[in-house]
Amino acid sequence: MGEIVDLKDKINRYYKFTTNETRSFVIVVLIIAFIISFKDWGETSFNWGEGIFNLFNAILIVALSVLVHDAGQRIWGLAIGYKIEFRLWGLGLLIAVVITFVSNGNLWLIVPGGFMLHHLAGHRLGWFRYGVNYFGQAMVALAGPLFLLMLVILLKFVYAIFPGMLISKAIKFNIIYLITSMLPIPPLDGSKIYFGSRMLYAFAFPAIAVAAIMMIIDIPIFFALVLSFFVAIVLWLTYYITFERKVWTGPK
Amino acid sequence: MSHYYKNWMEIWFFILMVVGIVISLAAPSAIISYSIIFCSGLFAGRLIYERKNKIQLPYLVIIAGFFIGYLIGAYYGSRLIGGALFVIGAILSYRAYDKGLLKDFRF
Repeated sequence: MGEIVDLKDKINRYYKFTTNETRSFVIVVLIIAFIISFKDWGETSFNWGEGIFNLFNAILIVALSVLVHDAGQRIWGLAIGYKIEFRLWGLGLLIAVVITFVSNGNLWLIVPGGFMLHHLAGHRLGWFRYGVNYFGQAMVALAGPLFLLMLVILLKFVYAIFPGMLISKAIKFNIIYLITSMLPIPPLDGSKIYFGSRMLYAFAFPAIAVAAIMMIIDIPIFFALVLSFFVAIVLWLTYYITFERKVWTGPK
Repeated sequence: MSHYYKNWMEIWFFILMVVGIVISLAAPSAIISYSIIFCSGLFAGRLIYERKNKIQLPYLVIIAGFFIGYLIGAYYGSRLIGGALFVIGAILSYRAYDKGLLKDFRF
């Protein structure tokens, strides 16, 4: 109980967006909303009204997803004594826009940015591995995709009760965001997990990717989660036996 | 491998030229073509800024490779406007980095 009270206090004190972060979020949401609504500016000819409506819907979807992803990392970061600062990845967003133009909006690259850890000295007292470390960073990074996965599950439930285009698009967007964020390209979450622990990456990436793919092909949620867990265990073991066991030489 | 180290500028010039042709051929309309060349200009400006006090010539040649490839493949729109947009994009991006409006964070 004490830990929950402590976390609540930390959230009250440190869960704030700086001006720079707010600006970054606005830019990220607008650019990604433009990317995902690129094809929705009219069926046969350009249509302003339809385009603006779809852009507005896209803004809602992207804002929700980006904030949920960030909330996961912030809350988990605070739970283990780190303050998280969101930083947009300008170059990645520019590449994403060019890919959208080239593919005529058929290919979405969702790469909003990464985060930086700030050590909360007082709140880390008593923790094993006191300072900032790669494994802690990996755990914080993993919280983002896990929160997104929970959001996808929630949206699937909502879709089952109130089916609609908006929720269907939100599910599709979140699944793509989930998979791209797990790619091991700095500064995405996947790179932080990969450099924090290869074994964790070998488990988390297949688990999340398989779960995401099964969410697309409409397999029941519980079955998708269980199956993705088993697939991830098999791949994790395969990776360990074929590669990690031979190269791991212990801590230096 | 030593062949690559001797001729990397020419190799990348050629690769980027081919990439430029492919990208410009993929553009379905003049507006999209102009948007891509403008974004490419922004990339070029960033790269030139990055090499501000370092060796620049190979990078300028490689950027020129992409630019030439793009103009060769440009099917829609005017090549002159495309060229102007590339230069404007590069100048804007360079100035934005120079004034500190845009920053690269090393994560």
